[in-house]
Amino acid sequence: MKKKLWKRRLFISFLIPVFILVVSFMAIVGIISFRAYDNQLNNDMKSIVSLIDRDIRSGIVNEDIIIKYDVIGKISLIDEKGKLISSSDNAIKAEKNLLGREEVKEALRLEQGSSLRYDDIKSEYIFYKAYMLSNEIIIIAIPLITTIEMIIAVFGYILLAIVLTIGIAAVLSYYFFNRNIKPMMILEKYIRRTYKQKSIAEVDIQSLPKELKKIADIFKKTTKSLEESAANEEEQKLYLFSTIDTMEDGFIAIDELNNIRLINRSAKKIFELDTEDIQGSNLMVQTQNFQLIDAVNESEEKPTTREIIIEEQTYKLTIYPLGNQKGKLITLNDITKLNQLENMRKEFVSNVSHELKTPLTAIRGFVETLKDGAIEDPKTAGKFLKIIDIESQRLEKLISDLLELSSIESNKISRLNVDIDIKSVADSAVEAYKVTAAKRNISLANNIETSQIIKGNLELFKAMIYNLVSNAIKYNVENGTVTLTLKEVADGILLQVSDTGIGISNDDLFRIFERFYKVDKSRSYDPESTGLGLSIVKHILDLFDGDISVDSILGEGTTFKVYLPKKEDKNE
Amino acid sequence: MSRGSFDQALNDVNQEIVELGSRTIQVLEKTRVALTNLDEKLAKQIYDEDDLIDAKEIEISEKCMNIIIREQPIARDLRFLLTALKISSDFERICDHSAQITKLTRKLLKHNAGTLPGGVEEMFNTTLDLVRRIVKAYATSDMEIALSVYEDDDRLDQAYKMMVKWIKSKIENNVDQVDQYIDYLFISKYFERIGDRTNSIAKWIIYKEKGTIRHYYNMKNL
Repeated sequence: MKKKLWKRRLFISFLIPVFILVVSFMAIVGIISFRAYDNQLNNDMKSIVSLIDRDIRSGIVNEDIIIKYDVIGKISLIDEKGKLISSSDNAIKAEKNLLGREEVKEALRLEQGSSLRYDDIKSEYIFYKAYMLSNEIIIIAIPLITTIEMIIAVFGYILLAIVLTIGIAAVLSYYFFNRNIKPMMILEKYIRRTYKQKSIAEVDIQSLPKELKKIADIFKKTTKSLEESAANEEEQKLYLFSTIDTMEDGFIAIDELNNIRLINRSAKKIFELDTEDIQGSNLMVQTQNFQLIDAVNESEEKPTTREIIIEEQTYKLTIYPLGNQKGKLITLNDITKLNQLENMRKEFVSNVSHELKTPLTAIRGFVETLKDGAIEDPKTAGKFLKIIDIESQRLEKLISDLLELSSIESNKISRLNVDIDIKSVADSAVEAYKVTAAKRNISLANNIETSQIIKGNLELFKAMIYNLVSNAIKYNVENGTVTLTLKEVADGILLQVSDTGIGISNDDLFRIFERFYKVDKSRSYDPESTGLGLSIVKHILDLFDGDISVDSILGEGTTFKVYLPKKEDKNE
Repeated sequence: MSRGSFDQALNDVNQEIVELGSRTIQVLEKTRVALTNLDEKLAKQIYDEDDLIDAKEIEISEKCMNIIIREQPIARDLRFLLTALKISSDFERICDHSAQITKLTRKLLKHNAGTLPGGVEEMFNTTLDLVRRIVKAYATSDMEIALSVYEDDDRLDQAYKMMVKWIKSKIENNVDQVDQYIDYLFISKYFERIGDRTNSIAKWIIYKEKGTIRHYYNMKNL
């Protein structure tokens, strides 16, 4: 629409001067030709008058003379008294007072006069001209129509000329305009298409004139550099977005109206949001978690941190307000595990201090008593010394267990790769605990028949098996049994140590591998029980890449299942 | 008020209703802890916090009425505001019932009640589930969830009837424990009422979306 307007405007602005020029030129021509006609008429009339005058002087005055000169109009001749001498005009012939005529009056006064009057008889305008001779007056009557016809004829031609000229000018200029504007149109199309399809359009710009081609080239260059920077930006954006999206922490960006602008995968997972388009929707409405909104509303200027619980998971919620109150950034960091670890650490420290302090208190107590004089009584002294011995043994065992545990944990013990025959280790364990078992009449059976070789640190493996067997005996009932069995399972070996002991309740089951955890609280003062045995077993198994699980029925017995993977591939 | 700020005002109301719903869920969760552990301190705290919910409901109602008077909205916007008035009052009532349950928690303690009967606990779980779902249905304008809540309310009614029967038999056999069984009866009644409230909210959610108020028999033909 706009381009047409421009084209039309240009076209019209060209035609207007042409039109004015042509019209004014033609007007001048018209005026000149009319003047020429007027002069001609006057000259004609004057020559007729002088001819008639000559005739009168020579005495020939009759009807015929007048008729003879009746060329441009009716001619009448009257004397100064108004008497009609001769006339070719019937209207004048009928008139009586000829001296009353305006042109005659004027002629009498000024030698010649003129008047334009409507003639009722002929019903037309007639132009009268009167000339005063020596004694006579000549009246020439020219019907106006003659003049007007003449004028119309002249102006008709002029008009025709104007129309023709302008018509030709229009057609020609239209043609030239189109020709000159065409490159402009091509350039316009080129730019429009490029804009529309967002890449350089395939329009032939080689045919453009030099100036326009320059514009097209500059446009092309600008577009290309814009395209490049846009692609760059897009890539940057994608990179940034992927980084945020794959972050382990939840991330949400909101605007000043609490509408979500950006939300990453983790945050969606935390609030169980569908992956559908939730950008721009309200955070409160989406998460339905007022704790979050409370935190968001409270953090106006400074970043705030607090802990919130969502679906039994603890999250560290941090809110960073952006400048100018343009919105806020929210991060959610799952600290459930961290909290658990922290609690475990606290528990461990208090347990260690407690476990160390108990025997020490006992030792110091008895030493004090001995110092105070009990040493004099050999019987009491012997008893006390025995207790001190037991307590210091317990302390020693505790410390050695702790050291072993920490050395296993910190991987200080090398993974010596020697062949370990599980059957022979089990045999030696049974041999070692035979006496202890026999004391409580517990039958110890090694049901492992074939040798199974695995690779690893023999001492550690032994420690693990001994620990399990010792536990099985310790927590057994009188006349109970302890059985060791071996099964081959997919990719590994399953070693089972079963007892018919007191069993472990479900509440305790998942905690027995924790350090210092003792199922039977009353056993706390057993010097043999440090509460570290199963913890050591678990850590040793980690070195073997193995795993341990427990099945237990309270009052019926417990089975520890040790899974050991076959690691042949690794050793080769 | 321009169209933009009018929309913003509606969004605000919407946001506040979801917030109210979210708070209602928390009140119920706390009530459950107080009831199962017979925690008197927590019960008192919940009871005191009920004023906060009441204030919130009044705030929402005032906002809605302000918009209606100033803007004279029509069609969907008007429906939304009417729904907001109804639903906010429903949530407030749920919290009231919760507060009444906490009051009974203190009574139970006085009556030396033991652990919560399984039936009551189950009713509580069903109720909490209904409230959670209805908040989600409102927030996401999910008609299907709303409809399922509407239908599941029957389950709560059935559970209530069962509870009444069970309590009756218990009272007949344990005359000395009449007091605590009456408390359980009231508690179950409150659950049943909360269920009715979720039912009402479901109805209004459907009204908000569809513009028609339906009863159960033709609810399925939506």
